[in-house]
Amino acid sequence: MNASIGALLLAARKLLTALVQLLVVATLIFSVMYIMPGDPVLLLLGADSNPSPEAIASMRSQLGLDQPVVSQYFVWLWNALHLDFGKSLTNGYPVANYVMQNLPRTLELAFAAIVIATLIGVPLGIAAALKRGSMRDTVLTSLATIGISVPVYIMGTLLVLFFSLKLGWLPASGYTDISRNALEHFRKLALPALALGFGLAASIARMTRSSMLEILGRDFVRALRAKGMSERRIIWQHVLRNAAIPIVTIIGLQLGNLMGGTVLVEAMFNWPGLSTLLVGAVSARNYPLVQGAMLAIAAAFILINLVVELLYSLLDPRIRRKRS
Amino acid sequence: MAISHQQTEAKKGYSMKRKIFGLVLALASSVFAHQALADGGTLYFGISGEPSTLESTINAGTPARTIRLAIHRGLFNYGADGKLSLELAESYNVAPDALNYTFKLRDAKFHDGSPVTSADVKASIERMTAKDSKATYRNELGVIQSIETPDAKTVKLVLSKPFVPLVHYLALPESAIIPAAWIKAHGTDPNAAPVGAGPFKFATWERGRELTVEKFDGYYKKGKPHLDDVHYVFYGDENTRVNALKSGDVDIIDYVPWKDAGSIEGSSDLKLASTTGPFMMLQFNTKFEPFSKPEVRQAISYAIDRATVINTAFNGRGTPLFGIAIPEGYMGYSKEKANFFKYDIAKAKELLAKAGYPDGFEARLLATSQYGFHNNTAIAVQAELAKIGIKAKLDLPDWSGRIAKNNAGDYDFLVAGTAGDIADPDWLSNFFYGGQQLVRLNNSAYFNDPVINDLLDKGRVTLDAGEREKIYGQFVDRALEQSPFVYLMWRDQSFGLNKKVKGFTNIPGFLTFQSGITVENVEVE
Repeated sequence: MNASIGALLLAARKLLTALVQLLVVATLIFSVMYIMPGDPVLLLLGADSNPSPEAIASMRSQLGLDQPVVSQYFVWLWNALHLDFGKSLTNGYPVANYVMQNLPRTLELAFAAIVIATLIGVPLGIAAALKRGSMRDTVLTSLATIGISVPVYIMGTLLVLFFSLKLGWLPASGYTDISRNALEHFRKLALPALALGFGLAASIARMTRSSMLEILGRDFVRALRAKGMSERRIIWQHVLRNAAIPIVTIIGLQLGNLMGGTVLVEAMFNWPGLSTLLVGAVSARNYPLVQGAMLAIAAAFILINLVVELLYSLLDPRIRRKRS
Repeated sequence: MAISHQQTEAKKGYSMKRKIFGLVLALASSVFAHQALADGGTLYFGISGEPSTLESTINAGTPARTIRLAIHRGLFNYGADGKLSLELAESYNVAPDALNYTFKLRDAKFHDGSPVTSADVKASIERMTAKDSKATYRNELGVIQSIETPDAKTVKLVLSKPFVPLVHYLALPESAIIPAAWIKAHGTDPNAAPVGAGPFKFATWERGRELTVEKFDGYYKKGKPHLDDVHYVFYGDENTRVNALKSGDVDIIDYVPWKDAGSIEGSSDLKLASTTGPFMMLQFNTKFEPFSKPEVRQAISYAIDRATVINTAFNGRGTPLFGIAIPEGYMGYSKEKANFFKYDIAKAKELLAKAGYPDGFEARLLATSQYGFHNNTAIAVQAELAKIGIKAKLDLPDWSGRIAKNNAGDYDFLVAGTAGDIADPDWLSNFFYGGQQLVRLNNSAYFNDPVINDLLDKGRVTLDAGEREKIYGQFVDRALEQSPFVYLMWRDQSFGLNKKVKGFTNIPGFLTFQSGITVENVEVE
């Protein structure tokens, strides 16, 4: 009973902190965008033309950009509190629509990368830990080091070169809606998810290995062995469960980081997610869209970390008790 | 987009069945077989960005133009040969005083089935010339004083003063003719589905991904277009765009990066459609003291080895430009003046000393880090100018920042990459004319030479071609003497195509950016 109230309180406190964090993010983004040189109106009125001062002024007032920055900020904040994130400056399309359309794609990509990374990383880490110091361990550990060191855009380029251009197995880039063609959807997801997941798999493998090794060296493992428990049961039921917390931590943290880390991969694979939207919006100085997209990324990051933290307490009752 | 939503849904279902069938076949032959090539009637066109809107009167860059040229037609357009072609106008007549233009319209239909009438032409042009219009060419079309529509197929434009290049401005993609009823209903809605009289009608726009147009059966050119539909897929990243072409995800791409031109040429499945026309140049703020002197600007022209720029920024794919950027075959071009300057350091130093800067000076050079070719042109120029003692400090914001600084005159000199808008010599006015607004995107800030202004004014009102040729000859002499711009090179501008794509033309000269119009001729094997 007490424990669940504690967990609720914890969640409430975290939620409040999250809201404050969002406000800070929103304010920072707003300020940075206005400090940056550049003018959305000039881009809107033509790529290679000389818009007249009258046309510029009229467009500026039409978009509300002639108001003082501070009042623009409060108007925006007030609307955002009412869940109205404004409209794209370039075409009047609601920011919320853009975000709702692109956010799931980024989440899907990040999630797919995590699944791939976990599926590769955890077994490899276990395999390396069980034969510590062997040839297998050395090869796997070296591979993991390489995996962590290779930047995601190099990995992405290599994957495209090999799987698309050389073998022709998978599309080099793009996106197909799952409702339209599920197979094509996943074929197009494969390479960006792999590119993103590869480096992650390496760090998960390393974390799994060291965490496993640490637990394997504990006294209770020796006691279990002395009791005659089968090695398989020791590993799966006892060692792995105890080694899980740091692994879940790193997976959770990485999922949060991936929300921002998808920028390069989305651009490279033309994946129409939130990062692609954000990059385009920054280039066009599309202020409301930048703010909306950043808020969404920040919210997703904060939410994921919150979930991860709550997940620890499920895995390890000690954390729950300590907190409450 | 509201229009033809149901149609699109139905089509999606159909194309999905087709795709699944195709995939089953492909899978049967090999588990991971590459997806079968696009259907015979579909073209996948990888374009270098997503337009913000399809607003027809604003030139918001090549991607938007490429798409609009599939949907819309004007009274005229530029055809595949780079010449003016009569489109919705069947014939036209210019009064000897160049004050009255009369157009006869052909029998053509808009995508909504309504006929193209003189009322539509009147409404379209008035939309551009209106007082509160933000149309890119409002100033140029502003000479149109009134529009008369004696009957449904005749339009008469009455000008406030003679204006010879008018038909060229009417041939721009921004001068598209759209239904008067559409303007009334949707004229101020940037997201309204466009309706035009072009070969393809707008179908869907999946934001962030692609825009699809479908064949218009009522197009006025019999037998065209050949394709059932065209998917314009947005590829902002140049490497991704090239990979998409190489892997067969798309059939054609625009803006081939210079570094990749060789590998596309060398591929057995692909071909490169290349032309020159766009150019790179330096623009000067003539309020910055050293750059107020023509000798200094000329010295810079002599000091830069064009080959260094071409090799540093364009992988050798360009042609040195030592005169004024007038393409061969355009009015004002002359062979002897095309190479007025040459690479001559001694001469550059001499001119610099004569201007009072024997040891050079420091200046800010504005370019952008967002596009490699701008960035690298700036680096090459910096290195070349160091040889005559001019220390260029690079200012490299992103594109938006650069445009803002350019428009505010916040630079000493800058790197520009551009082309003329039209094939008539009046394109020069946009760059050289002084006048009221002395800080603009395409002029050298505060440059205002009465002789040049006068010649450009004369060129606009002179009907006789021989006479005009003379005027622009004098203009070139004066422009070389004043050198408000230093031209560096003609750059190659290329499309990459799969060899199964037939009928696409990269229109030569300045019109390369309007090549999208030739999609009406494209067939896919």
